[in-house]
Amino acid sequence: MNRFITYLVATATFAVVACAPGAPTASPTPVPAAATGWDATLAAAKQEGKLVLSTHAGTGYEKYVELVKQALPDLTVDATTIKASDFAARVVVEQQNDQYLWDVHMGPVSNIYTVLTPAGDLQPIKPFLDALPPDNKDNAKWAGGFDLYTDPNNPVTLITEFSDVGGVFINKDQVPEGLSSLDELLDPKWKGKVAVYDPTVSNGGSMSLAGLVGLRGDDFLRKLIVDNEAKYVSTSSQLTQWVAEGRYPIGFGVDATQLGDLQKQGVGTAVVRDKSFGDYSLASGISVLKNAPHPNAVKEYLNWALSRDGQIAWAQNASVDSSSRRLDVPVFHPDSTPDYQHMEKYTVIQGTASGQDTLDRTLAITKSR
Amino acid sequence: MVSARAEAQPAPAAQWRASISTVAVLGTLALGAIALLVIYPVLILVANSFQVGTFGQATHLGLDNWSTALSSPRVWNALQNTVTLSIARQAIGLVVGVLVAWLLARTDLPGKYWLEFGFWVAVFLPTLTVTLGWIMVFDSFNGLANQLWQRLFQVKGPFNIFSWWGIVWVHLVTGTIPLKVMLLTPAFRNMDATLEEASHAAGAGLWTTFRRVIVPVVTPTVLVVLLLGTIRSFEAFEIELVLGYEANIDVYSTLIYRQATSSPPQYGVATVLSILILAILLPIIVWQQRYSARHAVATITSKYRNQPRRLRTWRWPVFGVISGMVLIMTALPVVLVVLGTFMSVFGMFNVRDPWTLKSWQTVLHDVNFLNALWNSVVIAAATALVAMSAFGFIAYLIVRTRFAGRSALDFLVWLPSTLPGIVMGLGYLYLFLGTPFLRPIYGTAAILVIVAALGSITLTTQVLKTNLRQLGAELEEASAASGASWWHTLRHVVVPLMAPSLAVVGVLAFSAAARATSQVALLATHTTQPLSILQLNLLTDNNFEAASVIGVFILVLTVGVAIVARLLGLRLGPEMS
Repeated sequence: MNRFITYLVATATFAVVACAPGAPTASPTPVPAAATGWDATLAAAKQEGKLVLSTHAGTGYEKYVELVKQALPDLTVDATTIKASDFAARVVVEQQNDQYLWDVHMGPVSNIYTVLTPAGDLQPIKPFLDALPPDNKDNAKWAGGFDLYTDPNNPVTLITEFSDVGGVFINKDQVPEGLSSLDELLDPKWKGKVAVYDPTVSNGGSMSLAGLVGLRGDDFLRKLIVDNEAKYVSTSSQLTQWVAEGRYPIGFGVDATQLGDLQKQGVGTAVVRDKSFGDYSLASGISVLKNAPHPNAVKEYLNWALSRDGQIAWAQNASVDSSSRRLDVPVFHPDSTPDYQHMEKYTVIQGTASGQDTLDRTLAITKSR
Repeated sequence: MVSARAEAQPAPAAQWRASISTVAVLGTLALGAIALLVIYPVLILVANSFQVGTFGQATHLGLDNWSTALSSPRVWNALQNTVTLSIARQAIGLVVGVLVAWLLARTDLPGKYWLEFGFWVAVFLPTLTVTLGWIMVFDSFNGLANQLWQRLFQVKGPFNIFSWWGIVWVHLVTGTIPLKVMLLTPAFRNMDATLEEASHAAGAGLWTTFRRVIVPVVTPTVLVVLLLGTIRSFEAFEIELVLGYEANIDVYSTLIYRQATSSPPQYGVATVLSILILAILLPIIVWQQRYSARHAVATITSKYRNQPRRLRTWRWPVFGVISGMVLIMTALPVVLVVLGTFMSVFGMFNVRDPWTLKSWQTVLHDVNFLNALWNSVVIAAATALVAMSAFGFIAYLIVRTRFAGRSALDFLVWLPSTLPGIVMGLGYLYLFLGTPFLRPIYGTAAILVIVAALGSITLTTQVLKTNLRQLGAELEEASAASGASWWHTLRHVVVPLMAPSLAVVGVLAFSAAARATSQVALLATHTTQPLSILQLNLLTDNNFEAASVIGVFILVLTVGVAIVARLLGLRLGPEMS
């Protein structure tokens, strides 16, 4: 646990450094004074009558939204599943025009961290959490303790999940012996044979490569990309199919779910995921938007979302690699659920300043080819 | 010929009937509305290109976005690819499109109306799933065509869809040729056969008639279609995104897509790239406008006659060729798309259980499906009505009146299509949030209708303008001389004559609205999201099979509307009267 806390502190320090220059922080918006007691908060939420929620695009997230609606029958849940990049663009322009239309966002922290946090479009979540009953905030129930934010000095996003994704996918029909070391990737025999899901933008491909940069530095990636002519593939679906078919023996950014579906159909059964290289972790969490129009409804939602039921709803449905930091939530996706007791083993790319820096360096290299 | 040329000018009688004040007031309103909806977002985007800094944070004025864009060798490489790909497919598409349109419109080809409809359907097919279908056929690794070649000739097949020519091929069969046929056939059909007969009677041979009669009559229309095709070439990105990367082929639109979807998004650089496209297209647009204004030829007059040329012994061989094209461009992709919806893995036949109903169940059990279906119907139908009425009126203002702002209006309707949807989407966001009286409709379906309509304003207005220019003014003059009011003439003379084109416009707008994603992604909400956004969610999950199910629903909707519109258009159109 000590190493976990050390990791968190280090992450936080990097986050502070990265966010400091010129980044206007969210002006704290006073949380409307709720009447005393949780019942009064619920009554106020009922009076507000509505929760405007945003989560990531995808059918799993839509299922989660339906569960939110069932869990909060007193509220009209106006939920939009939208790509984080589109959501961020929308909120930025809305708030530039003094339109504060959203209450809360639950999902991957990508653009929430890189766009909305530095833009000051979120508000501190801590006052909302403070207003919740203590049961769901028990430190013992959460890996690393309850209070874990993308930036402890600007606590706008509570991290509820890490996923352990990426790694290198190897077709053992083509590479029976697998890879014994990363240097093997630079062997000329793999020239043009290593395929990567479009690493010029932030996605599973570039994040896997960032995992390599975290291990071996920028020069290693340059050699892989430039000298050994790693192949860029435009979609992860195409890459997955090609690695499964053996067109490319080695792939970064393969869609593990799709690969699983293919393997169930007898295709690509020789493909294995080697977590030793290109492994990385992503953070997901909850953020409250600046001047959220339904603050008490937000509290009611937070109380449910952080409960065991709420976390199960998330971990089971939202995405094929979702899990929960909450320790009493079952593991639904073992391949992508990290060992929460030993988070220091993982390179967190999304949701930390150090991870973002590594990703930025990776993108600079992949774009320069 | 001389008399026909004169008809390009606004009809004096129609103008006389339409009271000047009515035209001025309505025209000014239209110009004001279009200027706001078009210029505002474009200006915001141009201003953004000079804003230096991370999106959403404090910025300062500067040229960094421009220097970043212009100093990148990838940009110039992409420009070269964009231009060469565009020239190749427009050149091939034009030759084939003109020939097919002429055969459909001016000959006694059997089943020509249904063959024409086959080309319409090709325009409505979902691009991405059709592209995946063509990968199934021409993939160099295990494509069906290469497998067949290998079996027949015992050597590796030559086909590779992930190549420059692969991109050209998919564009030709999914949009370039079908759209040209769709737009040119009514124009050819509206040509008056008496012009050709007069030429023959005067002793001119086939070549002279073609050169001196047919070419001058159709050139303005062909130029419009060519320009529309070029703009679509510059906008297109799905095909290049899927097929180009393997061959290291980037085009402008794929570069813009990557900039806009970066984290944080690089809208500044994306806008610079968009402005560069605009700078290339604007002079061409201005030249085309001037040419069309000077050379437009009216062909539908009171003496109008469409006498089909007899193909004689060529009738059935030509039917075979055109049917083959329809099969390749429409029937085969439709089969591939529909098959894909029943496949466990899109395009893979050699798996353990290739067939399943899972994708249909996924879509039909989606709690948002029915709402999205209804939204699509409402939004697309409303967009079609806007296109037929409002854009019909704008086309009328430009072609038939002396409204002072008609040139400006004519220019403005070109603008929305010259900027990629993903960039315009951001511009529209600024427009609706930054304009106080438009703000109340933010978050409603009305905003999606407006944006979808603006997305098709260029294509639809040009189709209607071209059609109006072909209509001689004498029919309106005769109506006016008989004492009919301007409104009566519009309803009972102009609209019936324009019916086939209005049908085309309605269907095009409906189809574009039903499929729109990039423009509406930033504006749709949970309650207003149409099927296209649901499809986008499925594509985000890499669930191409279920996304194809949505594609089939959109296709069925559009084809249904097309059948109705076509029957109505043909019933009301001149060839039936």
